[in-house]
Amino acid sequence: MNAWLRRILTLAGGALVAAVVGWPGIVGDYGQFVIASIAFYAIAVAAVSLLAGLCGIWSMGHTAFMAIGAYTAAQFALHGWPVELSILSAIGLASIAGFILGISAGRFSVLYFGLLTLALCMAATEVIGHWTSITGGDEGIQVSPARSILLGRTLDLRGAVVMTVTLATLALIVVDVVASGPIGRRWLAVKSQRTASAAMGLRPHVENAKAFAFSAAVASLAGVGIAFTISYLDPIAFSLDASVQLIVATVVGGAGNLLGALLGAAFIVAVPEAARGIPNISVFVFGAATVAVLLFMQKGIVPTLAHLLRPSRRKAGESVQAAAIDSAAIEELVRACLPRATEGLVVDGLDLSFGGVKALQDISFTVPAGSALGLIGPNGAGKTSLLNVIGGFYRATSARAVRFGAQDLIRQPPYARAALGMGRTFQHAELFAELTLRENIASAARLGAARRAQAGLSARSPEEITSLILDALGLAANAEALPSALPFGVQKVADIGRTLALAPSLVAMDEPFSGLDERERSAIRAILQGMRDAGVTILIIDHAVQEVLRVADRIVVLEFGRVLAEGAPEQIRNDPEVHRAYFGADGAPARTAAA
Amino acid sequence: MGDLPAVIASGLVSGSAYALLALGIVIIFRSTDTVNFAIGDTATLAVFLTTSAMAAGLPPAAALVLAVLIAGLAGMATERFLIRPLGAGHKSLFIALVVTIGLGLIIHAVIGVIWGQRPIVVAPVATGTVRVFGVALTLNKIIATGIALAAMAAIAWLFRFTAIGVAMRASAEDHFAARIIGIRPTVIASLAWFIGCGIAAIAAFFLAADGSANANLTLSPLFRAFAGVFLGGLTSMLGAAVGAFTIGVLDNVAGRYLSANYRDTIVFGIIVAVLFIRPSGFLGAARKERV
Repeated sequence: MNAWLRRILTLAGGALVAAVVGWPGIVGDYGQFVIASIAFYAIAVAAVSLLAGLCGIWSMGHTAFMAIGAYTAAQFALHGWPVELSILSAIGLASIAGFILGISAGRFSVLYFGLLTLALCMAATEVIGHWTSITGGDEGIQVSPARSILLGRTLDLRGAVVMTVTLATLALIVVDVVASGPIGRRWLAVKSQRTASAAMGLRPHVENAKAFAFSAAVASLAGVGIAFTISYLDPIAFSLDASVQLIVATVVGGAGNLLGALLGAAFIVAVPEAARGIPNISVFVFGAATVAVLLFMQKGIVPTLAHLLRPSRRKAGESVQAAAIDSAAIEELVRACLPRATEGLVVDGLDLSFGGVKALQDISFTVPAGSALGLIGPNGAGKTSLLNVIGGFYRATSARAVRFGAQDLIRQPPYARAALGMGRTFQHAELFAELTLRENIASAARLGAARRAQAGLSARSPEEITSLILDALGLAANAEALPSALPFGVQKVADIGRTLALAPSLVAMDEPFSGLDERERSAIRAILQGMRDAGVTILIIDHAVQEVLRVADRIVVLEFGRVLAEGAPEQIRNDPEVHRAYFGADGAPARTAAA
Repeated sequence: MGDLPAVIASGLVSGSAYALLALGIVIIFRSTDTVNFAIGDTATLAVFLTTSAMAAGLPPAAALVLAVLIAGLAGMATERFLIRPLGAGHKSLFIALVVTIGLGLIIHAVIGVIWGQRPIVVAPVATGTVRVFGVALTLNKIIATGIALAAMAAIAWLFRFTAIGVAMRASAEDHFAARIIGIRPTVIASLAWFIGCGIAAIAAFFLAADGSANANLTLSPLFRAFAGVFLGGLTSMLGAAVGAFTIGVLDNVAGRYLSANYRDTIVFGIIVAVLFIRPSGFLGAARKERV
């Protein structure tokens, strides 16, 4: 469905419900209670679902953020302060708390969020139980009616329900806009490839923290809704059980799906209402539904149904090969989208040890601006380790210098390098699994916009840059496909496209030829040729020695973590030491093999 | 501060239960990359079943063995029927976590239906108190700590000196390589879930033997066990055990000298502080934990 149509329908639906509830005499007290409950749970479930769907973070502590909203609203109402102010304060407080927690766990795997949020929920329950002056302790606290400064009056219960439905509608639309926009794409990128997203210039832990803060802010609105529609805050509403129910609702509806959030909210409201007076039934239904949905329709009910109803997509295998690539087109693309390479890479006296193992010793070489350096060596020579030091994923144990242009790289984190103009490609492509090829490249193109503007390149939008890259790399036919649906060769080409979109002046390539057949290799060869002709600085690491010798200006040969030889390709081709390293002491078969 | 030794001693005693749970979590995580949130509920269910048997005349020692067997088998069944069908890989990691949350709810409801909502009274394994270095501790707790330490020693021996233990460690390091040298991952997974849930049942058994049991018997200890895992890392058995004992002591010290009302909050504070202080080596932690 079109994004705007979806939002308009959400708005219309919300307005309709608000009108029906708001009109006196249509909906009775019980009906109002049910509608309000679904509305505030829809907000909370959307918050949990957004985090699970876009970041892979399952939070068991979102009732803590609801509590922030609820008790802020209650205290503000007690003092007679307007409800608009309490909404803003709740958002502010929850997002600050969310950001701090997000940044603490974000440095680790997302699994740590599960454990952290469990702890958050336990702590919140305890604080609510004991901070009696604010929360009323276990007995709870009565909430005075909300006073609205915009409407200039105090809201009765009916008005509070209308306000909650309005909040829910707006929250769902804002969540949708964020989730399907550039920010959501970024979070999906970090979710599937933390390394590649860092190499692109994103800071995974900060992105996690932003997402967590946003989600927490949304959840706090649910708390404001509870405060004024139930008019009484019972600590039970913010217990671990309630938090787990939000997860149940997310699973049942489908993580990351808005209609799913609404359905999930209706589910967790309806089941306890239907099973009133029979203890344990709803807990059992929740548990059973969660397990059953995950075993039999892993994406959740709404996405699974949507998938069944949608007309079947294009079958795989049809036009998935990349179109032929012309090195002149690449050259033109590079001149249009990449700044002129002016910085060279200098590595001087670099050592790297893991514990007692010396992976790299006294490595020195330079890659002058606009040249191509090939880095070759047998397995275990330290090529990938070296690339990881240059990319910032390992820190050199010691080095006299690792510089890019005038910039000292030794203490720079990986995500700082893209902004300096250092791009890299990956041996296994590492495309963002949940983004189409177009979105993969567009997410990089947005990050590269600053560098293009700085270099004074023509002011094309990131979308236009993306289209140029897709066309030049022969990817246009597959632009809307997900990476997993495409052959490895196409994925590797797309990975190069993603790097070019960052407008780098140096591209470090990790085994661009590995795992490819001859036809795919020729595509890579053409791309490399075009990049070289346009003057991109290239550092290329590969096992395919012949390919590297063909494309590079200079070659560095590594063996056992040391530089074995350095020179022009012709020189290296005839170096007996290099032959010995590759083919053993004999060296005799080397001449034929390396010819 | 004169009672500090007593506070630390009782912290170590509660820490032994947390350490068992933490070990269970880590053993299961290492074998199948699953954080098992249902581990406490599985153990609680086993303890409810055996306390019923004890009320019918089963001696405590036999009841403990029975609880371990029931929880272990339940763990194996969980892995076989709920976790294995999800398949391996990055995505199923979180799905598996949520499945165990769902399982926890189901067990919770089952306990509520059979035994009701109110706590059941459990007879202590032994009565009386003993003075250890001038600190009075109930005999019940002494026995619990002794058995917990013995169980940890047995686990250490199993993983260090037996063929199957070494195979489990190898499989935890690299599932694929382990398979190549002939270690069957399904056997390893079953065994790990048996051991993990089994030792959690030891913890639950002695928690109940302190007087009573309800469906939330292991909730607060499990939360502290998770905190211990945070300190020690998800993949280190020794780290998790040491972390859990540390949490036991810190929790008790803070509860005594800072505030008895905000113990969970203090543990939460420790977790957040640890997350900020612990070096992650940027992506290092992520890589080590295969996430």
